[in-house]
Amino acid sequence: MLKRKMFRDIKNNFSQFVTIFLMVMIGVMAYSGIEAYMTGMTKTADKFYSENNLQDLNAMGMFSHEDLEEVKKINHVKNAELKLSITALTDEDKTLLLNCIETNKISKFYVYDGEKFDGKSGVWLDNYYAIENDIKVGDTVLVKYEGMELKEKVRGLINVPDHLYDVRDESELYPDRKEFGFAYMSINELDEPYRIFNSIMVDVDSKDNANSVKNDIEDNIENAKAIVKAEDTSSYVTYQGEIDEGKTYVGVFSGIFLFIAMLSVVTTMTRVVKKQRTQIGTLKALGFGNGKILFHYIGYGIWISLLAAVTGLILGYFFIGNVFMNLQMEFFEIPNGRPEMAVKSYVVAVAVVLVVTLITYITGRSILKENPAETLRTKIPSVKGNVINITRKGLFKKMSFESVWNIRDMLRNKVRTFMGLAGVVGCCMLIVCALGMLDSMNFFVKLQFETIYNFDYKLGLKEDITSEEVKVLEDKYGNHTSQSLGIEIKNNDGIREANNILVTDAKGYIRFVDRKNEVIKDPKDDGVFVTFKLAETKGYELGDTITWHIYGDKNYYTSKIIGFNKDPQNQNVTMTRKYLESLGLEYKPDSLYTNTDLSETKEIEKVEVIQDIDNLKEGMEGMLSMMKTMLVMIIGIAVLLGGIIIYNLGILSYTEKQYQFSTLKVLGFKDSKIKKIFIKQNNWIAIISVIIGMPLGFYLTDWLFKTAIEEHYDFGAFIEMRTYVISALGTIFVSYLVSKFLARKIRNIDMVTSLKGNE
Amino acid sequence: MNGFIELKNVKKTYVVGEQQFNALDGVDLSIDKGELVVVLGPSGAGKSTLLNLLGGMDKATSGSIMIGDKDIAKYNDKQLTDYRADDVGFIFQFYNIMPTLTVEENVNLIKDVTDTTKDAKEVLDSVGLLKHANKFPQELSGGEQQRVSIARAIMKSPKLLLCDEPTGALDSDTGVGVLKLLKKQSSAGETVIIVTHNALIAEIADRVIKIKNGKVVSNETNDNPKNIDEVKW
Repeated sequence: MLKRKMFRDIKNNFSQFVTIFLMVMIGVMAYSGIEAYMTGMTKTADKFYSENNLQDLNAMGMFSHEDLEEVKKINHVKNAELKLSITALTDEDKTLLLNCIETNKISKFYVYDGEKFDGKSGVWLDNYYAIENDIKVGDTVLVKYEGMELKEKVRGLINVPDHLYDVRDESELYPDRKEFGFAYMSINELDEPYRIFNSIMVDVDSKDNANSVKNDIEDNIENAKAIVKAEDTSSYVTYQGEIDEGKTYVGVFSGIFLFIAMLSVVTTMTRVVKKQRTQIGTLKALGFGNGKILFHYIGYGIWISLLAAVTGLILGYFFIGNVFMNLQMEFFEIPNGRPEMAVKSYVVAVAVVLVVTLITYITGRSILKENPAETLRTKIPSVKGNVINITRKGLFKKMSFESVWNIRDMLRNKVRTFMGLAGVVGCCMLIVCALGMLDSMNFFVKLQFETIYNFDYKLGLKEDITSEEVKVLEDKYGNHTSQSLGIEIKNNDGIREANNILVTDAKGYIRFVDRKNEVIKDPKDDGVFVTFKLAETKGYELGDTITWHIYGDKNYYTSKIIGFNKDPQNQNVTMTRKYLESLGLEYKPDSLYTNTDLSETKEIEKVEVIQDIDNLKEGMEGMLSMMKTMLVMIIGIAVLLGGIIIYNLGILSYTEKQYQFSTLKVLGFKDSKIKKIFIKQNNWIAIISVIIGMPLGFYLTDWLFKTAIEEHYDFGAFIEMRTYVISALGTIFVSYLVSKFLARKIRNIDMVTSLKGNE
Repeated sequence: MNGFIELKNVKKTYVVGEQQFNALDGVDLSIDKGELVVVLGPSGAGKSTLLNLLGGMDKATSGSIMIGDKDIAKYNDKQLTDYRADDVGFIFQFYNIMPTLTVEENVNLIKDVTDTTKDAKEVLDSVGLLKHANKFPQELSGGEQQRVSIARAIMKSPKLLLCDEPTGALDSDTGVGVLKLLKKQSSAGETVIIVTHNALIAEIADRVIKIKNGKVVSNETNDNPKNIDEVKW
């Protein structure tokens, strides 16, 4: 019979149970969805790397077949392959990163369409580039390189494990697949003089041996100028960075969601059980044992939360997991990307069900402790004088009745007040954080592309450009240049870490900014600048020295740190041309910056790539639009959860005060005045929450940017005043609306019934 | 009939499902100003309904309820609110005082709804609670809480003091104390109506009205009300 009662109660309290269902479902869905996406990212990559044999090391230099054989002889080397990577253009002046190989046993192709690599003629194209440019297997593409024009038939559309993320230039963040892609073909397709190799991909028998193989190559292969581990390549690092970033999101966002969702479930469940107070009294009066009654009410929590948790798990996987995974798969070129349910998600789902059950148990038990006669009466709030003694004195005596009344009510219902505060603080914090992340990203786009980059076009110069040819370009486009050098910094323990130096002779076209994002005027020439984040990570102080060497040059240089600069995108070392030359090194620019209008220019001699600052900016904004989808979801859920918490706590507080409100009504208080009393408390909670939530939102954003974001980025929270205003007003507005909605109930208080309930 | 309170053919009908139930079924009544009236009747007779209609807490289905020269049966919600605020004092069986307000604040609450020149401390003194002015209701006994309720009611000098089982939750001695206060108000010119099913209280009344099945079965004046000290239950 009690079961029947339970089903009918659920039916009669449908909206409350739907709320519990939705909250548990949203909480579990958010958590398990993000977990499924993170685990999916990790497993998809692991599978791709292992099945397609991502190289463990990449040696760079100019290599012959003899070098290859020498490498193969090194202990722990399983296999090695030669590769020539060059930048080529198509007939439509799109850029192709062309890789010429002999065999394809390392970093094997994943073929979407077409044939496997067989060393014969034809080209294997980046699948994403092909889709963007509507190229199909069997089509012919024209590849231009060093005056050669190769007409190649497309034999396959592929993904390759070391090309998960490719951008044309480090100043680009978002891959532009319409304009840039990679391609593979047999080295034999090139004319004889061009059949050279600039890298060896090395497959090591075990990851643990990668370091020793690296050292052996450095020591034995003279042509090897730099050896980079797979884990240090931008493709690998960027992908891994997304996973690490996501892990923080899992912890923070889904944690906050779960917390707020649980708060709202707790408040709703308490409300449902408290509403059953007189029925509990009746059951007791009828002789039902406490255990039986408790078991009956626990059933309310278990079934609903169990159903919701299972639905949350399923939707988390199929909805959030897939949506996020698909977003990432647009960014990274990896096949068969799919979310994967994490064991942790099941644990969380079970924990949520247990918490709901526990709450039901605790609420039910507190009512059961009373005697049946007491339970059958309307609960009159008890007041412990000592708790609110302070409100009988001083300032409080001068306050209006409704203020004193509300203060005491809040002090008396500390748990309810705390839950209300925590819920609204959480929501306000999430809104500030979500909008703040957008503000911060926009700020850094501005800082990067307007303050630090102070040019319209960047020309990437060809590797073989001579100083005379540079001079010709400088005469035409201005002498604002820079050079990028791959280096290794040796720390005190002798461990070498890869980094790079930007040598600038850009004369104001690339600027240094300080901690306050202000341009540093006239940077000195007697040492190096280190980016703030790199300095913090490595513990560098002003005046310290760093010891470094350029890849391919065994000479080490020791340079004094003469300043710190902020760079949102790269954490590296910067020096002036004058300082480089003072070390006896030759300055050989690889980039030239200009404000000359090149919008109609497709090709410049000895220039590999022409980049428009607006395109770079667009790329970044493309990444922001991806983020926006996620942030809109966060804000939506935050507002929904916040609204529900305010509503639930409002209902709880209304139910408790209904008896007092009806007395006030009998005494002649107007509905509007009673509504004012009721709304006042919720408004206070909203205002206090906003005051607490806004700074917390800032710290959350700052913390997320500092810990979640990839190591080479240096973003901090930069939140516009407008965002605070929107978040504060938004939170207060939602709270006010919900209170207003609830206050409508006051009009319908039936004085007779309300007061009779007490007899 | 020409009393301060005049009820003519007052009906209050409740509809429960398809059933109609007359809580009051054509009540005619007349009560003079300053009278202490006791309304007697068994449970479900309609006495509380009568009190609710007199107090403007509920609306009659038909008939007229004249208080002075005003027919409150014709009042809308707003007018009823003003009527309750200005003219009526309520005393309930379970006191209905605000648990989060001190004794003095509970009495002063009345100043938020109507103009009164009375001083809360003086009123509390008159009911013997001055020394408890700064206490919360929970720190008082049942009788003391009921006296807070009386103090709150008389703070506004109501034309009509309506009491629903005012001694129902009290022992005999405490109840007598409360009745004395009510008698004092009636002697001061306020009309006091007490609804109860304790027939012993009727002995102190100026008028006794008996109700059964929603109808007035007798309405008699008591020419020799008993001294309150003689009442015991």
